[in-house]
Amino acid sequence: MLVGLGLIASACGGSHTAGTKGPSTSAPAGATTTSASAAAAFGTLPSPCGGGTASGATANGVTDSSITIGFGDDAGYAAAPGLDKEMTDAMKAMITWCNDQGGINGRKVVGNYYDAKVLQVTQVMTQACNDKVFMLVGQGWVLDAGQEKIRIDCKLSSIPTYAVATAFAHGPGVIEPVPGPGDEVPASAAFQLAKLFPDAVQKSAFVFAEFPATRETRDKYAAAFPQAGWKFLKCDQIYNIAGESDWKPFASNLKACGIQSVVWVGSPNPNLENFLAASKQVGFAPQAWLTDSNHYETEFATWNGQNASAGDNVYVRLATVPFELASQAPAVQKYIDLMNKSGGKVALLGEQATSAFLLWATGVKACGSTVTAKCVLDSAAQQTSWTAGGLHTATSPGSNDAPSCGILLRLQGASFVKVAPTTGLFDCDPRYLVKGISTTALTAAKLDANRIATEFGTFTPS
Amino acid sequence: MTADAIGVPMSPTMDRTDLALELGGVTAAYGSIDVLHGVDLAVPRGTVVALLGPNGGGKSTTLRVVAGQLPTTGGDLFIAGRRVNGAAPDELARRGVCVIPEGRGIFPNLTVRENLWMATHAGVARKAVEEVAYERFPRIGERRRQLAGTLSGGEQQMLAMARALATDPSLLLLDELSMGLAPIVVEQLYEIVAQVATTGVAVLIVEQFARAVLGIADWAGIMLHGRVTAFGTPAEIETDLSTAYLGA
Amino acid sequence: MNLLINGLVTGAVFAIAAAGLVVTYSTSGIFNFAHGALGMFCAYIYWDLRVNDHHRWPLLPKGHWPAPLALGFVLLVVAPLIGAVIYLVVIRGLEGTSETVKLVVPISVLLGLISLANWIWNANVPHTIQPFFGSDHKVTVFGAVLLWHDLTVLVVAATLAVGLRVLLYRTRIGVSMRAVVDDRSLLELNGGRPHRVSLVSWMIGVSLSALAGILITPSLGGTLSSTLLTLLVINAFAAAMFGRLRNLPMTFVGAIVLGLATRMAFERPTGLLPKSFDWRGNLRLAVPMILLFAVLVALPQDRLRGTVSRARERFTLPSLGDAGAGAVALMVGMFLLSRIMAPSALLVVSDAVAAAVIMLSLVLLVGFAGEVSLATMALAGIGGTVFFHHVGHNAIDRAGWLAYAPAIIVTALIGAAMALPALRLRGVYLALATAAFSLGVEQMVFKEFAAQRRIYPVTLILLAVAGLVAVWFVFRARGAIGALVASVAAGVVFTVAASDPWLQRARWSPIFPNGNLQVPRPRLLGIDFKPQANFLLLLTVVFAVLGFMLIGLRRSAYGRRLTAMRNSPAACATLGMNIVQTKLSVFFLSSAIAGLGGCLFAQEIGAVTAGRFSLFESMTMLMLLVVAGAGYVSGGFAAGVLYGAVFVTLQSIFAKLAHDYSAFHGPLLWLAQFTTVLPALIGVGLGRQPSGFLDDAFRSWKRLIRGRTPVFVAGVAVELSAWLLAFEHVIGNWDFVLITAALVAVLPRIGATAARSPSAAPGRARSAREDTVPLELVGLDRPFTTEDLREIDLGLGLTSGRT
Repeated sequence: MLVGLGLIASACGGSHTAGTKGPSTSAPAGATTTSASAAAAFGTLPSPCGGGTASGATANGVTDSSITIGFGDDAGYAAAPGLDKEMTDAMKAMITWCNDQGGINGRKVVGNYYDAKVLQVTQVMTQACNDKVFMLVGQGWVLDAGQEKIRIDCKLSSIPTYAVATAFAHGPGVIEPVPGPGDEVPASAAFQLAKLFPDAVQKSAFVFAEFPATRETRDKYAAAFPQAGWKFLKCDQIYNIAGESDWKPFASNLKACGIQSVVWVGSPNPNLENFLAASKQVGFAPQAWLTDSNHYETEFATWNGQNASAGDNVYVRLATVPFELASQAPAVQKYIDLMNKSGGKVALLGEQATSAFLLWATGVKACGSTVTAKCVLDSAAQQTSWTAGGLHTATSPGSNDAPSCGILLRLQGASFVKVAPTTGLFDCDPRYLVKGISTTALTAAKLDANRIATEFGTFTPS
Repeated sequence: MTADAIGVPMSPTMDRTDLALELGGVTAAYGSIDVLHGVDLAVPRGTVVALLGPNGGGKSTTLRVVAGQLPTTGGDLFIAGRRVNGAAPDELARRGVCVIPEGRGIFPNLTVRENLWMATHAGVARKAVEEVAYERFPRIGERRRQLAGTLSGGEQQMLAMARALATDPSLLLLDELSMGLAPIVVEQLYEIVAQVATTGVAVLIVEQFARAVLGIADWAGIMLHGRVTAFGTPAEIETDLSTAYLGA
Repeated sequence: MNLLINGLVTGAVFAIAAAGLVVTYSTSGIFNFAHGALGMFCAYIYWDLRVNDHHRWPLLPKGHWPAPLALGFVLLVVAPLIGAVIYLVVIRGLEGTSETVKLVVPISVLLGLISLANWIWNANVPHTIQPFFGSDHKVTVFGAVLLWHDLTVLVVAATLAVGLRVLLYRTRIGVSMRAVVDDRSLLELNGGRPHRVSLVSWMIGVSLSALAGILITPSLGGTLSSTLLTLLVINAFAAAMFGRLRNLPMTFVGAIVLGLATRMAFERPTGLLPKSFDWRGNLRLAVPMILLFAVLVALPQDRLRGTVSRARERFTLPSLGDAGAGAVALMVGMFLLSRIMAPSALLVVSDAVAAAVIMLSLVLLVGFAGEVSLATMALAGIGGTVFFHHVGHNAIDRAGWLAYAPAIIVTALIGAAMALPALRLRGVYLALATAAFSLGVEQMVFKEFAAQRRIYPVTLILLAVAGLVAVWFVFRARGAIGALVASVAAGVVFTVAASDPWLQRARWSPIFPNGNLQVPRPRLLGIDFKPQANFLLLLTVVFAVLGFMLIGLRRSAYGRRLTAMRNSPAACATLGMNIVQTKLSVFFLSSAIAGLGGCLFAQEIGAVTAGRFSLFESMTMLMLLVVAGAGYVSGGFAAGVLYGAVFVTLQSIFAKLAHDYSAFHGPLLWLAQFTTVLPALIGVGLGRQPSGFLDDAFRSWKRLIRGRTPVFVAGVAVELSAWLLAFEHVIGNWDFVLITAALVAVLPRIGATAARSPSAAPGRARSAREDTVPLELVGLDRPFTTEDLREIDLGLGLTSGRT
């Protein structure tokens, strides 16, 4: 169940995604890039790493010659070993890439790995605090709600891969490379689908898991999607996140209501897959299933290929460049190359972790010798059009706004196919970002005037 | 020869194999507590030997040892002249040792027919078992589809006996056959036992209530404190009995 | 009609799942908790052969096996093999053990299989089994659309019913299987081989599990997960209960009934599928558990087996002085340790002690009273939840002494309420009932509700009813005077509750807002317990005091009643002891402790999620406690350490090493994975040492301490000096741990050899004295000496045990 949560978690708001192997790149000998020649840039982003003469122990974890950061995942979770390890793979590869160029202004980056195994978030956060790392960068822990009190008490800032808890997404001292705030909904897919199937979206329903995170996402969508013209009939289906022994009744109910489009909140493996199989059996065939980025997984596509394309009408929203289009985005290809070289897993969360690292490193570089959390965060906050060299659509980390651009993919056979936009890489429109959403978690987070959560206290990064 | 030692008269033509059962100085223990302190006993073929004595003397333990359910810690155990220390109960059963344990040797949740079927594990054909059983004990023949646990005490004992007969054993061990039964039923059962002995089966009966069994026994022994303290004909033993039960 | 057909199919699914369970139980007397897990495991293997091109099983050809071949291989070779292994390695050793051990070992197998499956097959990748004949072949029966696969399920269920009947009643091996459970030794006397018979029955049982797993997975949607069949298995258990675990036809009938009931709970028009997100949705998920609980409680149970089960477990009982000394030693020792521990170590040890407090509830319930409960963590969760809601979050100052009281009382009441209908259940049935309760609580309570009604009136009504029931009980037990006193007491409680401002204001707020509770640490006696070291000491003190009280309880008359009840309920009944009252009271007390433990545990974890209080956690706790020694308070401590610290730490160490030394990445990662299976392996080993591994350790340590030998004193001195060195940072913490571990392991052995040598300290009573007269003939073959008399008194428990 928590695997599902882990995959869903990332779907709250921003383009958090999980696992895909990229296109099978067997690197021919000549194409292997050496660290020296790769140094100069990451896609369209000039490399923030390089030699220099920075010095001074200006903050925790910062010395004349090194900066120690913390990163981590939930890979040790017994029920799903290797959960989200792609973030760690990316962080390790990026740290190596950066150190190969001389570090940042001459200071090498040292990374401490913290495995929260899902249930031990408080332990790892305590550990990170005790280790006095400079910042947490590129980490992602499924149950991060539990960490906030400790993190705020020890005044540890962070640029994470993703944030699940609303309090963390709006937390003091936190900036996300692809923000997923709790009061906004990136609704590009809703608009795009409404354009493609104007009639089908008039008869829509939610299918969501009976779990706080999914319920909240459903509420957010219910508030936002009508602005794109969606109309939800009273036919919501709520399933047990741990799995159902029989999905057919749910599908039958949807069929009986005459539903033509479904908004699915959950994870592909195994719940959506089982639901699709059951729908096929009862003959429920809506024109579209709308899912979020965490459904962009090779495993899901493979399943579809092996199972008579039961999921051919599944649509996925993305704010990052899909691996199929790596040729149009050198940064994506670079990421894939780095992963292949280090033997890391190629997946969307890894891309996002890379973006987190680059955002952080860019901020550190700009701070020169006096590297402090405040300086780094301020520098990152000034990025109003951050794409991590072309890994994803332009975001505005400083204003903590979700992206207003998106790509719509469709699952067809054993692969994903881009459906919108028909020209260009991303489809952008200010309407796509729905603001002013309110949920119980948001209320509980007690946002102040600057949309910073005060639920667990607050601090000013220094 | 222990038979001599305990006073069983042996004719010159008899040898060890004529003894269906022989125990020589057998000791046994439950954990660290010794129960048998050197038991000498012999049961010739075709005879009925009764083992008497008060509770706690070791009679049932002796049976368990012979049945293979309790290992010996010393001494020798011979069945039909062959040393069988340490043999498993099922092995012995297949060799013709038939035990009817205390408290009815039947499976309460199986029917009469199924109980008899279980006797075939000893190597006898099912048909043969049923024939002998129903012929000998018509009462259980009438109740062949009834759950054995719902039979009366006497019928249960009959069923157990039926198993004993049908498997054509060479040594029959009976533990407290009369427990909980009406005297007339006990008499009937012991008559059958006597008949069985005439067919060449050696029978060793453990009993607390001497009167019932002394009528049919050829030999009797008294067990006290884990040893056979007296052995002889029923007449000889009767006088020792009162001291045995009351004096020790 | 649609409903009926679909209900039949669902029922057939349950029936197949239940059949294997009934076969193994009725032929071995062991309830196979791991039944569903075995089915799951075999289904995964089937997937490997049928779907996976690159499976990693040696010796077997790769590629897609054709379905009949794969099916046949798994059902006729793999599953029986697994069954044989389980029987030979695990089940056979359970002869003569108590009911608790007979329960815990299959539970360990269950947990182990789940860990193993997670390890072998990556949970992040879908493993899908297609329905037989594909998902396109359909047939319409009376308006219901069925796949050919569903028809297959129906046919198989019917065939199974007939086939099993034939097996168990018309074949000798089948009848022997029933005979074995009736009277094992009698079968031996008949010439049968009970071990062989049991072996066959387990092979058949696991094969049936595999059949269920493979057939059912496609019906559930097709994609496997390691906990998949757990859901299904609840229904299978309920169906099996219909047949009282031995009657196959009734099992099938029960399965059909349950299938229909579940279907009706689902679908229109009778269905409970809600339109909006509220408690009714949770209720639907709780239906199987409710049905199981109802079946357990309603159907008549087996008659009490009158014979005392000669269990192989023995627990020695410390004197009060020893207990007190132990408690003080623990507190002092923990204080000293906390001074040298690193913060992360502090955290881990605190987790362990918090878990240990919860373990105490099981020590009382399982160790002392011989009952069983799989609802420990659920009750702990209730305690933590009530505490949280009473205190409110962030209100650290309000968490004082009194904040714990409502949590403890409510949990105790709920625990007693759970036990009340289940009072005449024992062993397996009780375990299942508590498991059903635990799952029900997970589904219905540890969730969010949207409704916002006030709880005040409902609570008052419940309190009033509870009060009346209590008064009635007291009246029955003690007559009018007692009833009067009880009424006054109840009235006081009622008035206090009625005027509690919190209760008046409270509403059904989400019980687990956003999925986790932020539980604040307390401030007591002016000390802030937020810092970890302080909280650790608080936990230790609570444990020590509770443990001491428990030992005192055990030594009292109440404790003796519990032991009597544990050994032979039938005998107790004939003595006129009120079993109902005693059972109820022990559940009440045990739940109270669980509630307190739950509060502390929640405070320890800080941000606690519902998953912490799941059935699997309760199972793990029970297993670890029985492994460590359920009858010992120190067993509770050891189990807490195992649960909260050992395996987690081991896994972290290996993972970190794998991370740091990438050369050994593979093997180290393998070891890290192995530690997830380790607890279950240890549980499985219980057959060898049913009293738990601590028993031996205790005996040897006791001898050491009693003797007050120079060896012991020297050991203490070494330990203290090691501590001093660690405190002054002369040696590292790891060195200290190693020294301590070495001392603990080695001292008893040195002490034993020292005692045996002729220069042993005088006054040691029972050195190995040569005595030719066996014990039972002392007094007959030779006269009594005073030494003998003292020994006899000792054996009869007429002295305190001090020599």
